[in-house]
Amino acid sequence: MIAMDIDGRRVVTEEGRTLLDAAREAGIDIPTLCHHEALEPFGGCRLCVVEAAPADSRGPAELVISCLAPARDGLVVRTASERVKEARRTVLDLLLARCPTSDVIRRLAAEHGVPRTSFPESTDGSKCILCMLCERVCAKIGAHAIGGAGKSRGKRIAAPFDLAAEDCIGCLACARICPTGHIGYEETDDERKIWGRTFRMVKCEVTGRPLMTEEQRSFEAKRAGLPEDWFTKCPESKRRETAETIAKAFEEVR
Amino acid sequence: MAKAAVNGKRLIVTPDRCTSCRTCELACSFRHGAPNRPAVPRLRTFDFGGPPKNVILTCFQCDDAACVRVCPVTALVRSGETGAIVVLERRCIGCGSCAVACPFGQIEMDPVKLLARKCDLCGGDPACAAFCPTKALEYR
Amino acid sequence: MKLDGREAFSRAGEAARGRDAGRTVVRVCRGGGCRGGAAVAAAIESTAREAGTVLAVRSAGCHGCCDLGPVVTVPAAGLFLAGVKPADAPEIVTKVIGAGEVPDRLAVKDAATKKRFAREAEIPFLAGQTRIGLRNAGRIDPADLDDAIAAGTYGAAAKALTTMTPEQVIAVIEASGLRGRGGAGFSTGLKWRACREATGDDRFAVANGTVLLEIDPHAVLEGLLIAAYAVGAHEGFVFARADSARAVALVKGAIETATARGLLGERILGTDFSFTVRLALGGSEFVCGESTAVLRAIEGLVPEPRVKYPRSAERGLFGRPTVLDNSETLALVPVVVARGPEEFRKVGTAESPGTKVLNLGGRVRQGGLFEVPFGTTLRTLVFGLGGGVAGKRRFKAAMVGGPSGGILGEADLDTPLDYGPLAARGAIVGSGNVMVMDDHSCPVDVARYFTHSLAAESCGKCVPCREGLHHLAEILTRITLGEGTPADLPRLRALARVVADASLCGLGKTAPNVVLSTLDRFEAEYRAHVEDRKCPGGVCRALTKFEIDTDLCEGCQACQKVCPTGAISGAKKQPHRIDPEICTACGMCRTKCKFDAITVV
Ligand SMILES: Cc1cc2nc3c(=O)[nH]c(=O)nc-3n(C[C@H](O)[C@H](O)[C@H](O)COP(=O)(O)O)c2cc1C
Ligand code: SF4
Ligand code: SF4
Ligand code: FES
Repeated sequence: MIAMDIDGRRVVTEEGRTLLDAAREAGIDIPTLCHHEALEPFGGCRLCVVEAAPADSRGPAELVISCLAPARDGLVVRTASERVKEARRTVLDLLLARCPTSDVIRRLAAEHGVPRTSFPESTDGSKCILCMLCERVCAKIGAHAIGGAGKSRGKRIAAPFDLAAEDCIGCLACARICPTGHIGYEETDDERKIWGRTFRMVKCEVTGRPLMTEEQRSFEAKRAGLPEDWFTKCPESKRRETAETIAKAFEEVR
Repeated sequence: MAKAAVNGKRLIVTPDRCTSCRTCELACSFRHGAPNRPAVPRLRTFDFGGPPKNVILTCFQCDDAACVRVCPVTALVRSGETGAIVVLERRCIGCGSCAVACPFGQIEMDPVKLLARKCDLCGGDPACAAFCPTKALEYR
Repeated sequence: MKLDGREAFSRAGEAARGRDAGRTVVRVCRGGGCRGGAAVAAAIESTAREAGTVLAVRSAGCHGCCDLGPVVTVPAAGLFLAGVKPADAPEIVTKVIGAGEVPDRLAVKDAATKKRFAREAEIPFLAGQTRIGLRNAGRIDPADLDDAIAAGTYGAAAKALTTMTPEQVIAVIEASGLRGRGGAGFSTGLKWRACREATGDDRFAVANGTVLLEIDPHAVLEGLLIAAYAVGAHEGFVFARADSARAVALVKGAIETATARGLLGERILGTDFSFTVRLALGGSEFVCGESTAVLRAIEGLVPEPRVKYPRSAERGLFGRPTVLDNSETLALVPVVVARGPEEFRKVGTAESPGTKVLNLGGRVRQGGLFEVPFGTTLRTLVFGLGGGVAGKRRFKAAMVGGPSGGILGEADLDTPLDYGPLAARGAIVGSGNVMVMDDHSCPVDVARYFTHSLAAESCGKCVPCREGLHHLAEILTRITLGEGTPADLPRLRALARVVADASLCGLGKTAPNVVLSTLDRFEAEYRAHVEDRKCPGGVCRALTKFEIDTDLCEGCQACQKVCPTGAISGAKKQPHRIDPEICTACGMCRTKCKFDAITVV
């Protein structure tokens, strides 16, 4: 068991938890942008910075990122000191200059006292903050279809060689996880278009509703060790079918 | 079906007693929604001509669950306390694989949150059982 | 043949030392920096053959003073000849080797006193150094294992493997106070201990950094072997930049020959200890040298740094405990083991024992690699060993610590070169580069240049570095173009502070040093840029106007000849004049004027 002082409150947590975990468990909010619990912590956005110092230390506290810094017994953590707020404001100010058209960033920045950016705004219309959640979720799923290309400010998310993403299964995990809605896609009942590819949709045998792309079906079936024809109906049809089967079984018993 | 849970309780369904009054669905909606904004219920009743023909359908909390198998990010985990398979919302990436994989249609995607939603046995105090006037649903 | 024990090893050493008995050894440097060594060696060899002089002409690694190359040494006589050409061969064979006389032009001219010296022990900038890590620089052929063995290399490893336990080795390194030479100065002993004590079935030892690899690859390998033995690693990597072809070839050869001789690989020197070393190549980007980026590159991933939770010592390469040391650190390890920690602590400071290799450059008379004890002052380095500022110019500043170092001014000349004192003044030991600037330089422009380059080197992973350095560079660029405002100065400072505080890796944390240290020391020059629209250093063209001081001008026309725009007029022996309408303030004239007549107005 680990006991820490977070913002003057005693917070108890377990070995292996991060400062962010511990703070959130205690109901203390720390903003994050590149963090997602399904993925390994990344440490890129630096929004989750906090000040931390061992209780017995006399030196200056360290500015650490809470999404990765492990909880340690006796740590004194400040999640909203002036130094922390200044770092957060600067990060948001910089992101706002990068993505002035992103509502998400605008709102977050405003919440932290940055109504407008103090830097020249980028005009390329990109909403990508390079949190790499998309790349990481794609890798986590096992598709590895997209990733970062280039470095420094020119870094961007792309399919290999900027061609149609060969390994993409059209699952939309990247578009859904993207905090700013940067990743666009088009969808009809029959087709889905993303990363330069067009996917055909598997449809519910009963209602005709689109379920998933054909590639996603093959991919998921293989990974889960299920036959492909396992994925054929929408939840509503399956519920009705199950209920009917049960009703019939009872009927027969009676 | 489901493995023995720490609390040793199970949700017991006796369809013969179901009048299809849908109190359970309402209770579920209110328990999982916000004040003034009830959620879509996680369990459903089916009226096949009144008792004793009605059916109540909720998650079976299967042992080797297809949803758990298919989830790429292990956002579906079994609660040690209740034995229920629960969605870790902070971990779910909304890919929808589980919804298509569950053979009984017990997982749907929340269209607003874009996350999976399913029966979680209300963390050990299922509202459906608490409110069922005929004891067609019991938790013991 | 494999050396199967300490005895075989010492016999090999004697054999290597004795192989040139009865011949005079001449060494010609074949360092990466100087060209023409091969031709000089060939000329000396053929001249000697014709003259019937028995010589052993051997190669030498870089001496660390490439502007003097190619260098020829006659070790037995302690002679050191600089700037040798093939045509000098006859004189070298007859006069130098035959009679011990060195023609003046081949002797080294001391930058400060203009005196010439041919004896290595007397050449001030060499004699003034304490070469421990560079003990073999220029004295051995880095491609020749026998040379290394003759110089005692692998002796400390033999001692460690056959007479010490891994714990004893770690204790010795800890007691020596050895700190990593790669930049951060972390205690090497503590790092090794953490790795040894980490849980894991197998471990890795990794050498990082290219410079020492070109000079003395076997010393680095020996250090790596000792590190591996201490932490219990059986596999290791030497990480080198793929574009430094020389280092790559030398390390590759060194690993092969040392493995063939049983100094690496299975059952080293007949002991139970095995350690296989492989070469790993990386990109030339600055950030590729950062420790976690190095490990990712070896794993075949994009070389991006990661946050150091957990530390590499606990979970590093392929998830296993890994110790990663800089090659200079590793080259010092055998010295500590062979001579003992007390001996090692005799030089340097209490906090930072030993020496540091510094690379002195910029506007200084004698540049190159200088190995000096920690605590040596900047003044001693620049004015003592480096012979002072080149030409007739005055010292203005020195950038200490490499591209992400800080700028120190005249008032800081007595700063001891050591982690603590440098950090207290906004500079770092960093890569050990010290770049001297004279009074014709502009600190604002220097800050702009380095910030701009580092912004481009940012890997792009974290926001403060990727976005913050870009905007710092933008603001600085505007200031140097004459578009700055006084409000830019506090903004620069505030942004630089956050970038340093909140960035992920050392690159982002140290990149703002140049901005903050120049703001601290040269605020007046920043103000001149934004308030008076003037660049006192005469560098920022948009803010510079040159004039010829007619009192100083001798009318030599040197400036006229170099002015690319033809802006300068004036007859011989008559004061010249610059036409401000034509002048683009390129500053060419100023570099040529011997009378300092060209002034900034
Ligand atoms: C941007 C950056 C570049 C670096 N480049 C090098 C390098 O080229 N060589 C090196 O040995 N260390 C480099 N380092 C330092 C390494 O991260 C690491 O600290 C060092 O190699 C560890 O060895 P040491 O403890 O012996 O110093 C760099 C660090 C940073 C932040
Ligand atoms: S596209 Fe979205 S998820 Fe991907 S790096 Fe950019 S902001 Fe993050
Ligand atoms: S500080 Fe710069 S180089 Fe280091 S991780 Fe961040 S963006 Fe990459
Ligand atoms: S959430 Fe911690 S760095 Fe982005």
